[in-house]
Amino acid sequence: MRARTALIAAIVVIVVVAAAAFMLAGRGGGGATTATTSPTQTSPAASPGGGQGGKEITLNVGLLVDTSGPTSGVGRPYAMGAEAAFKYFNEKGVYTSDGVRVKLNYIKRDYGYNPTRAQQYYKEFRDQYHVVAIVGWGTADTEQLSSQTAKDKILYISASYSAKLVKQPYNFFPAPDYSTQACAAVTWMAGKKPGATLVLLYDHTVAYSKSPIPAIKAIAEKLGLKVYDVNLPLKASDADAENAIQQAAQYKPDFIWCGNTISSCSRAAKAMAKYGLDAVMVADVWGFDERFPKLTGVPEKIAGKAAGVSPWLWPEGRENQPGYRELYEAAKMLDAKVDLHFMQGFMNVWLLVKAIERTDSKTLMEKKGEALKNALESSCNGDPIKLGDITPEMRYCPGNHLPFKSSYIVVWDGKDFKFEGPITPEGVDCVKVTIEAEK
Amino acid sequence: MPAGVFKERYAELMAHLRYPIHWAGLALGVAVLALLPLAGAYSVSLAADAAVFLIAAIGLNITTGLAGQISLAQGALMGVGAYAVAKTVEALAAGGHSVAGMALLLIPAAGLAAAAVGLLLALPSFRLKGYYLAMASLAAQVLLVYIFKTIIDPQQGITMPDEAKTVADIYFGDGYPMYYLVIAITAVMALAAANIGRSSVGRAMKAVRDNDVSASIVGIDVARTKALAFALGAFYAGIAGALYALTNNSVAWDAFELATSIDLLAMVLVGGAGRIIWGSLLGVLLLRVVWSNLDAPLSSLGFINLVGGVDAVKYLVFGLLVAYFVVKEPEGLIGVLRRVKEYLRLWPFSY
Repeated sequence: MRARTALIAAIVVIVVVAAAAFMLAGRGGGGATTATTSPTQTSPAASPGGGQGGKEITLNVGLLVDTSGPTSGVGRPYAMGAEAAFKYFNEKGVYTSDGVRVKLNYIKRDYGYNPTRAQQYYKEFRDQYHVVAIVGWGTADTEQLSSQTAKDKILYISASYSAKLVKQPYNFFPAPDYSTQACAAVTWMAGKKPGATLVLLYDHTVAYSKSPIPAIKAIAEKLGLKVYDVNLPLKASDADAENAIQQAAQYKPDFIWCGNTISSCSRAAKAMAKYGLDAVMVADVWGFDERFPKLTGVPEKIAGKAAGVSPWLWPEGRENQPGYRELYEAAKMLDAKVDLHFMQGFMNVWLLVKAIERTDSKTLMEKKGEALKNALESSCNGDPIKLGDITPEMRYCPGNHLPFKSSYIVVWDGKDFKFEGPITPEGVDCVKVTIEAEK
Repeated sequence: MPAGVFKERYAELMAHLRYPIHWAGLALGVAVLALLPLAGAYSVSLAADAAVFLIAAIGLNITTGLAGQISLAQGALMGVGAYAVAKTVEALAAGGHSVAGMALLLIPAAGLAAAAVGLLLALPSFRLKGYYLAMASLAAQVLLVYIFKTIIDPQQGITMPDEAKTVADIYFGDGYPMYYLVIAITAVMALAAANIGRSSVGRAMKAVRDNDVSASIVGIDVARTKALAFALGAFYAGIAGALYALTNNSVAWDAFELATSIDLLAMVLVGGAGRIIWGSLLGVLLLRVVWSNLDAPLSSLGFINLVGGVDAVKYLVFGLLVAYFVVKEPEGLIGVLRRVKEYLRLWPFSY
């Protein structure tokens, strides 16, 4: 009995001391990486070329990803792509416009698609690591943090392309917003079959799924399409998907818009094949990728009936094109497989690198996140930003961070993916419709 | 010199600080809280977060620990408090009214709003006990979150304007002012809870918890006591929710889902059910402070790359911890501490 009590006493003392130590240290006993307050200058370091040889700046950057939550299926390759980009650009060397080398020190956190935890990690990034920029992920968390990042002047590059973020001063992404992408899809449908019937499948409770719907309805009305709503849960089972497809079938649709992520959309496509619904499904950018045909289990049955929106050409078979070449080199460093989502992660870090390259070291040290924001916004009237051949010329203007408007429609033809477009929606300001609908 | 501590008046016997060690503990606690800001901005936000959950856990400890009414809806009740503040501020701002300082002024109202909902939750407790009551409160939790999702906050996230959190030009939404305010409110709430536990109401709750039939035989109004226990617990949850709304950039329903309620219940069980202050405090320290700080070291150890991420490891430990305490230490950490105290009292001659 005494020995047991003594043991418990020891455990309790350890726990209490540990708790106190955690509290006093202010973080979990040594973080993921160094505790450098950024930007710090260290010297001397090798610096090929450039005016101020020998100087090096270390910048802390937060990497907020979902590798365990409901969107981890697409979140994991995205995180891998971002990490590969950090390694690649660090090795290759990132230089400010006056030739000072910048080392990017990233702190990775998995928030499990839970916006509340994203806020906690945000505080850690800001107060513990003093990050100048964050490469982030989902719609709900990025939107919730957008006013805070504006206040704290931290550049935030997200994988969410929500229309609301277009108007936020510190939010950027290298793509058209979801609504503009969806409008491109509707424009494509109207071009295929005028007066067609369109059913919208999406989760009626998820911000990400709901956000482009008002814009879709607005442009569909203008283009003369009939539109109906059907709920499809983001975490859909096969039964949920079949239920949704049976509801959709009542309207005899020519087209179906799927506004969820890939697991939900592929189940819906599978249900379409099962019930022989003769319509073409177009899924959003997170609802359709290389795995889609295989995930449905019936790749030959959905030939010509499954499609997705993509703002860029996919990386497969483009190893030798500018932009894609860097992507493949980075992937080689991590031994990773290149796919669409890997590319999205890579691109977001690349955009951050572009921002650093467009600013000089003095401004960067003084203004940190604000300097990076101004650097990206200098593309409005100055040189446009281009991520190799992956994106067209991008211009971010103060108050309007919509870099370009065109998207491709990727159609699965049974053997391969065919790219149609790029398509630019016209006649409706899809960003404006979305923001006004949410008010 | 007397051999020991002697009390000559009832007031001395009833005082919260009875022994020299109490005074020493108070001094140490105040010193730690006062010096914490020196450890940096992040430790301040961690401490404020822990304080918010401490209030909610104290509330649940009144309902579950003191009165024995199992509640799985404490997280949703926090949501009621948080949304009471956020929605009122939003409505005022939309109506063109001034919202200056409203996030602070509305804190008591948020507590009352949650208490009103808590009273509703008490209704099934008049007829149900044990598992069935737990199921009823689970239903309430799910229902409330559904209402948040569909009616109150369909956009998932309400952000209050800065002026709502500003009083006399001091911004209470972040940094040291937020920290001191939250700590002060927590201290007041904890003191009040300690007194509730010692009052006739608290003793009535304990009687109902231990045996409701004999409680009613000695003249305790069981229904009223249960209703009070739920209302008080919910009031604390409401205050915690309002402080959550104050200290966080935005309020969204994902913070008040079932997982939060289960976390709070685990804090109470691991810390010590029935020991309102110290039990709750230990539970929060272990399951919130140490817990949220495990992310960084676990991530750097490479667990972030596991399927399921850092959470997989954490929930494994979490499950083992709760199972251990329920089986081996039903009194919770506080029981362990008491045994340690007894052991040290006679040390080194334990016979």
